[in-house]
Amino acid sequence: MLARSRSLMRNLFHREQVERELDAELSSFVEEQALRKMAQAQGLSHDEAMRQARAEAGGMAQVKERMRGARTGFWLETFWNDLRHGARGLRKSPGFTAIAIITLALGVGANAAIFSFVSAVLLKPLPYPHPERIVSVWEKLPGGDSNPISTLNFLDWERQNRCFQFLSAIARDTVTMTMPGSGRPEELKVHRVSASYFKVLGVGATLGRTFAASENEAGNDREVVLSNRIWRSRFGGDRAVIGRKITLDAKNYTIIGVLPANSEFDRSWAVMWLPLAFTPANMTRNYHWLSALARLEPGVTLKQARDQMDTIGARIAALYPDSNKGLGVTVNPYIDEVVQPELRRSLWVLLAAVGAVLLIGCTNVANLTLARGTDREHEIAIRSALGARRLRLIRQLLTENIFLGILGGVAGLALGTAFMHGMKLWLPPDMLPPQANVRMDYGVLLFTMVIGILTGIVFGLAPALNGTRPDLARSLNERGRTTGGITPHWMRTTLVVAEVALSFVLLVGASLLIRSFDRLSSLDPGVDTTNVLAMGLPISLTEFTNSTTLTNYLREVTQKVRSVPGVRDAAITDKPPMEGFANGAPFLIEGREYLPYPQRPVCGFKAVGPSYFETVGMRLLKGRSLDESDVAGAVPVTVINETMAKTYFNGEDPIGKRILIRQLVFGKSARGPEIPWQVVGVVKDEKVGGKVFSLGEDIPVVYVTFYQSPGTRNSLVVRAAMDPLLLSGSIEQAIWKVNNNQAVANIETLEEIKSQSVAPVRLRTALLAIFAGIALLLAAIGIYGVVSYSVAQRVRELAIRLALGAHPSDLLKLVIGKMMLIVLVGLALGGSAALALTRVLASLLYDTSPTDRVTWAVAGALLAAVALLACYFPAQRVTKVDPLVILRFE
Amino acid sequence: MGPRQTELLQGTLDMLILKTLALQPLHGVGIADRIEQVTRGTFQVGPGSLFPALHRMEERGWLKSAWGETPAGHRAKFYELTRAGRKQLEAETQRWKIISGAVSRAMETN
Repeated sequence: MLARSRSLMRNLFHREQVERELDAELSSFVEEQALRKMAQAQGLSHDEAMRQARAEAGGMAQVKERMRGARTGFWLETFWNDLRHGARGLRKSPGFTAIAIITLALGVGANAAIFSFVSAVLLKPLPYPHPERIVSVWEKLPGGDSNPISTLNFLDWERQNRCFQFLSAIARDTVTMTMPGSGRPEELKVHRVSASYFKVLGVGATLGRTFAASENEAGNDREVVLSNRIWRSRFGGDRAVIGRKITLDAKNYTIIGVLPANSEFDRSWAVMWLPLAFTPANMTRNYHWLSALARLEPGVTLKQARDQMDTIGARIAALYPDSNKGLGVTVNPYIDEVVQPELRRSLWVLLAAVGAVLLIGCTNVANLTLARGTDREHEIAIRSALGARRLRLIRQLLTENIFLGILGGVAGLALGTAFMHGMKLWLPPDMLPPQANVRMDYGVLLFTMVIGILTGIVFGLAPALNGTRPDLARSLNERGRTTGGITPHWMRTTLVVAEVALSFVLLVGASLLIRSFDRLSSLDPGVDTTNVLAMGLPISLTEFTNSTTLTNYLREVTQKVRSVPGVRDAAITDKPPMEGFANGAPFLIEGREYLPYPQRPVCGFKAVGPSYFETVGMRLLKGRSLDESDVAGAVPVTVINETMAKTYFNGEDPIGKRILIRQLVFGKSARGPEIPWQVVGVVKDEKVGGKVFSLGEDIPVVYVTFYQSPGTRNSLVVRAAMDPLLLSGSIEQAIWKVNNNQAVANIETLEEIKSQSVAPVRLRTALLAIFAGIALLLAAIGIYGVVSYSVAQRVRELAIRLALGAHPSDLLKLVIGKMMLIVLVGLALGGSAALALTRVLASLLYDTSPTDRVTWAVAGALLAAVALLACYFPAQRVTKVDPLVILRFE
Repeated sequence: MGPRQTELLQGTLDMLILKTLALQPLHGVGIADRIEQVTRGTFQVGPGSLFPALHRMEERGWLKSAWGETPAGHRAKFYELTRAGRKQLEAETQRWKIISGAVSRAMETN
């Protein structure tokens, strides 16, 4: 071992001495043989004897190369040599090098960027200790869907379970805080959570503390934990903030803690966490408003927890059939809730797409290397003649390519980082789970460099094997006189087929998504989105303790805003169009079969101002609209949408029918007695949607006036005669004239809301389209390269054909025809692959079949057209061949 | 010359070199001459296989080399067995006995 390492040092660092000894040893051998010859044959000259001895010994260079091969450290040394040789070669052909590196950088960069998202969202565990023990808990509807939890159900779960170490309820809420500087009231999003919430997650405050158990009780709950971001932005990052009092919804709260910086809490929907203390008004079983997270006791499996909660759920259902019959409990790993299947699928599809782009890039570079390899055939042949073995030559070529791969990897990393930041900017809010921290970490770095190097091997191996075929005599003798057949080399053919096939798969995928997106975004939202503004008017129960004061206040706000110059109409609504519902309502139709509460069908329930339909531009189909006279105390009336009428009154005239819905009790999280809402009109559907891709659904909805179902969640929609954003200032002033404590939140136009509702779909469509575009471009470059190379190679043959009387256009047809045949084979292969692969897209498509004929035809035609162009330009050089000029050199 | 044959020869060549050097240190020409002599001309070892083999065996620690003078007065590199080389020779001799015995028996049976 010692001897070996000593000889390694000698071989590496005293190379010249070692080389000298090799020379000396060999020449002494030859010398001795020569002397022996002279002794045997009288009269033989010294020179002649030496010549004979050398000839007998074989090629000195070859012997020496083999002797070198026997020495330790040879591998390392040749690696270094190959690298230097490779770098020199790359410098000598800057065009090749630049194209290769750019191609690789594009492919590797796109992969690095997408992988940074895949890694953060899909591969990293949630950023909590023992994240596998965190579960989400929901009520389970008879159909199996998850449903928010009622207070009393939650409290029973909390008392009865033995499977959770901690169980925490969470309620989304907003509070109004008057900003210290401007004095303007502002809406803040908060989570009200059980004291055990941070114990469930296993996260502590970075400053101060989180909630103690006693803070779950009403009266003890005036404490607040801040996200690091709001602490820095609103409280100047002041460490003395702990213990300071702030006023939220006109109540005093004490700041007790600040959460860690750059954590998921900085990316969360909420900016503050308040204790969730249940008041008597919350103590109901039929108002479902909470979500819940729990940490499993150590040693308790998910299955055990599910079984136990099933038992508890069944027990509650048996005790309280009116509210709970058929209701069960769902326990799911938290990760499944954090990463929704649609996001998961989108990310995998994008990763597959960039993988394909990289493969196409590899193919192109392999093609270039192959072409370059043919140019270098002579060099390889000489080296081979001098004693380099095939394995040695393959290694040399591979080293060069891996070097290129590393360069591409480094450039790709830079490009990928830029891509990643760009995508993060472009990302619609709430598209990624807050737990996903997308960045270039070591994992992504490693991934990028590994694919860079793998790329080098993949694109380098075929040309290396091909370029070192032992065919010395031909290469040396017929330098430059190769006449390839009519079809390009089989390897190049295969590469083009692969390229075309891969691009076609991508192109079909992208075209399907584009078509689906087109259908989705050209959906009629059912409202006239031009010049309409929506804004939130958060209202706290501290300020409005009774519903009459509130409805009067909202009416006054509506009137004041209506009087602002430029405003055409204004209306209160509990949710603006396309932003979902404030409430869903299980209902019965009077006179039909009775169903227990949990088994009733559910419709959307919107409480709006009477002028809502006119303001947003919805069309009345039948009956009358809501009216200023539909106030508390008058007959409860509803206008239903077309889907409701069609789904539940098929054929019958709904006007005059009564729909039974339990009352939403003002100021309480409770459902009151059944209210018979009398149908007075039918409107055309507005797309209710939500912010995440549900614009396509038709949902049954009932509309009532907010006078008859007042609540604290309200927004204002305003139709203007001009660009409504210009009016936002005067609208705010008008509102503040009525109540200067009123926060005006999220001022957005309906156009913006509509665009946001399809933003995730747009993002993935755009990304896939970009990748498909790159793929198409790379494939075109690949085809161009192969055709122009084979034309250049066969110039002599073509010249002979011309000389023998072939017409230039025949040659053109010949060259293009052969190539297009190859392209067609690629299209056919890609088509069958796409047929299998686009099936996974099905769930991401809206109103578009994965086998949509038009889409396929367009994608195929586009690819064929691009391929034809890529063939035509290099091929037309054939027609300019002058046989005389070419053949004169023969 | 097919690779399989080379492989067979390589093992054999190593063994022959070890055997030759077991008697006395020799230089390249000396080794080639001796092998030709004792195998009665069956093996003629050219420098193309001899020198790489010598270097490989030196790398493995079986041989060590030093520059010296040939009987004819030339400077040449002389190789001699190391202790590891002697052990290797014993092992190779054992192996060869088993193999050659087995092959002979196999070829003699009808």
